Parts: sequence; structure tokens; C-alpha cells
Amino acid sequence: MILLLFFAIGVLIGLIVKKELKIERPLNLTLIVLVFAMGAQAGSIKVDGMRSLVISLLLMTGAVMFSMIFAYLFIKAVGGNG
Amino acid sequence: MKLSLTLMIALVLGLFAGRNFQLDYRALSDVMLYLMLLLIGLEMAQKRKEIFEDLKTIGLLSLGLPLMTIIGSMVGGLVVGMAIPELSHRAAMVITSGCGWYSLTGPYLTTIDPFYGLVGFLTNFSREITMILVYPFVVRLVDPLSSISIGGATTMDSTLPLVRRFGGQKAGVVAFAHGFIVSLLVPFLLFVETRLLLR
Repeated sequence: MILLLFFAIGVLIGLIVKKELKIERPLNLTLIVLVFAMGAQAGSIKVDGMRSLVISLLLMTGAVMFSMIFAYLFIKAVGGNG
Repeated sequence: MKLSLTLMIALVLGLFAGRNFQLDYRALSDVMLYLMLLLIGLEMAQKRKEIFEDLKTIGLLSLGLPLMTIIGSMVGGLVVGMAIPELSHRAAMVITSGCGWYSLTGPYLTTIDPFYGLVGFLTNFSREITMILVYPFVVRLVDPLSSISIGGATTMDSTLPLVRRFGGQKAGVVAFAHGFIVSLLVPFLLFVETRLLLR
């Protein structure tokens, strides 16, 4: 709930402030610290990195394959082939 | 590519730090996650005009294709999850629902289980890398539009130039709208799925 609240606050600020704010740099910095903290949490419970990587690659392959199949069938059905 | 490399280094350093120094990394992660969601919300609100313009020009495709990407990702996770003993099929489905948005999926799932967080990050991070590596080839074998689904949420930003270059102008417009809608739905999807399936 707190996460959604912060997201909503961000949207609200974006709607109120007329001037375009440059947020790419702070966003990247936040992301780097976040990934570090995430790795540290995984490291503190002694997660097996290689096993996690293999599981991740299998999951990614499944997700990509089924996404492609569904998208292909949809494009064929609506005749939107570019 | 520079950011991707920095993130991999940050992840490895984090794993090393976590194994060797016992600190409250959870608190750091929580604060950064709040800050990042605020910035993401801000970015989406700022880009709203160009997004709605693009959505108008491509109609049904802009809604249907992202849905196929999300449903396909969930089904893919479910199927693979049933074959992996280390992970429940429910967790696998939640992880692949991230649709390539590794910066959200990984940290968000870490709040539930650090193992889910790490796999969530790697699964979705590798999806972006896969898009960069295979899109130029797949686009010739299949078609420029359905190939967009490989990239998931990343087609709005990091892989958009690639789609424009190899898929053409129309594919570029569709990719942007596709990435935007996926990015809009993924946070809610993750929130609902974790509430229903993992808690």
C-alpha cells in the first residue's frame, strides 16, 4: 500500500508541476543503490547465485516464448501485421 | 549498456557485502524503493501527452498486444514453475509478471523473500538482454509487431531504438505504447498477485 501511495504521489507531482523535471539521473542512482541492497539481502541469506541464474534463464525463456506465441496469434487475428 | 553493466556490478558487490557484513539492508532497500516509485510515477505523468497521442494512432493493437505479452509472461512462468522444484509455480508466475521490468520486480519481491527478489531481478534483466540480442533476427523470421512482446516493459525506453531501427516506424510507435501499457499494469499486477498468491 505504501508503494502505491508513493507512486500516486509521484503522478500527482508530475501533473501539478508544469516544468519538465530531469529525473533520469536520480532514477538511475536510486536503481543502482536498490540493486546493491537487493544483492546484499540475497547475500546475507546465502543464496546460491549460479542456481538462481539458471532458474532465472529458464523462467525468462518460458515467459518470452509464450508472450511471442500469444502476440503472434493476436496479430494474425486482428490483421495488424506490419 | 553502461547502466546494465553498472547494475550487474552493484548486484555482485551487494551479494559480497551481504555475505560479509551484517547490516540492515532491508531498510535501505525500502527507502530506495519508495523513492524509485515516486520518480516512476513522476516520469509517467510527465510523458502523458505523447503517450496518449501514440495510443490514438494505433488503436486496438495498442491495447491487445500488451495484454498478450502479460498473459504470455504469466503462462510461461506458470509452465516453467511447475517443472522447477526450487520454486513454487505461484512464485514463478509472479516473477515473470514483471515483464522485463527488473528494477521494480527484483526490489519489490525482495520485500517478500530475498531469493524471489534475486530471481525476479535476473529473470527480468535477462529478458531485456535477450530482446537486444534476438530482436534483429526474430523480426525477419516472425514479424516486427509480435516480436515486440519479447521486450515486455522495456520497449518503452531502453529497447525502443532497437525496435525503430529493425522493425520500422510503425513498430516503433506500437512498441512505445506497448511498453507504456505494460509498465502501467505491471506494478498493480505485482501488488495484487503477491497479495493473493504469496502471502
